[in-house]
Amino acid sequence: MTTLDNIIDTEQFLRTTSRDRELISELMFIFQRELPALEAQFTNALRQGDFPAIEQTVHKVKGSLLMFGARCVSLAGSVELDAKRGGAPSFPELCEDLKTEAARVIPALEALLKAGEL
Amino acid sequence: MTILIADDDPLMILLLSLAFQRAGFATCVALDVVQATQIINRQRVDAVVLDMSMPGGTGADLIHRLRMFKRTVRVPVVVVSGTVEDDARQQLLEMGADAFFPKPPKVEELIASVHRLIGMNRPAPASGATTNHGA
Repeated sequence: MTTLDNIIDTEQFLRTTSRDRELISELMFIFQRELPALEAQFTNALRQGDFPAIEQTVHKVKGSLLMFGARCVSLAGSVELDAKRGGAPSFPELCEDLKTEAARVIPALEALLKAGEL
Repeated sequence: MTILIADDDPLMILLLSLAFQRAGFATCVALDVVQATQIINRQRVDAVVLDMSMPGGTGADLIHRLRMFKRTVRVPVVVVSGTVEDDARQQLLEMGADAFFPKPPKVEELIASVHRLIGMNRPAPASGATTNHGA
């Protein structure tokens, strides 16, 4: 498995998008546009300890990650579940991991596009 | 034929709109339950594809409203959701949803399912879906 395979399940993403490059570009454009606002909402909610807001934001991010076949979707699921339960001892670390992993998605997709794999 | 897509995720809206339009359907979009209700009250829709969690209510609320009125009681409803718990899925089917697809849906199967439901034949479900009919 290559580094990019560790980030994106390419087969799943191609199945979802039927290998439509125009659609893939549009989806990436929207995700790039939406992600900073979602990240800001997430950071604010974390700072305030607002678990319902964290859950809601992560649910949205999870939907996007699912769309792109991002492997960190399971991490988003864990954060969402922990937020629903009002947090857990490892919650801050999980949230940081999710931010880091989610930020790797678009660069990975761009690299896959450039390599002709999408 | 017009499909109402009720979802607040712009990626899903784009994916579904494009897929249904390419399959020859007209589409309209609601970002929340209130908008979806307004569209249903204002115009004829032939099927509704909705997410379970939306602002201003839930997919279940929308199904409930659709099933309340004679004009919309038979409009096919397909749920596309990232929530995959069996209980939630079963509850939606019992409320009157006709099919359930996990996110991200296999669009060809989703479109085939909508085609069948609109045709009112409601035969066996597509392999990726859980349905109220057939199976």
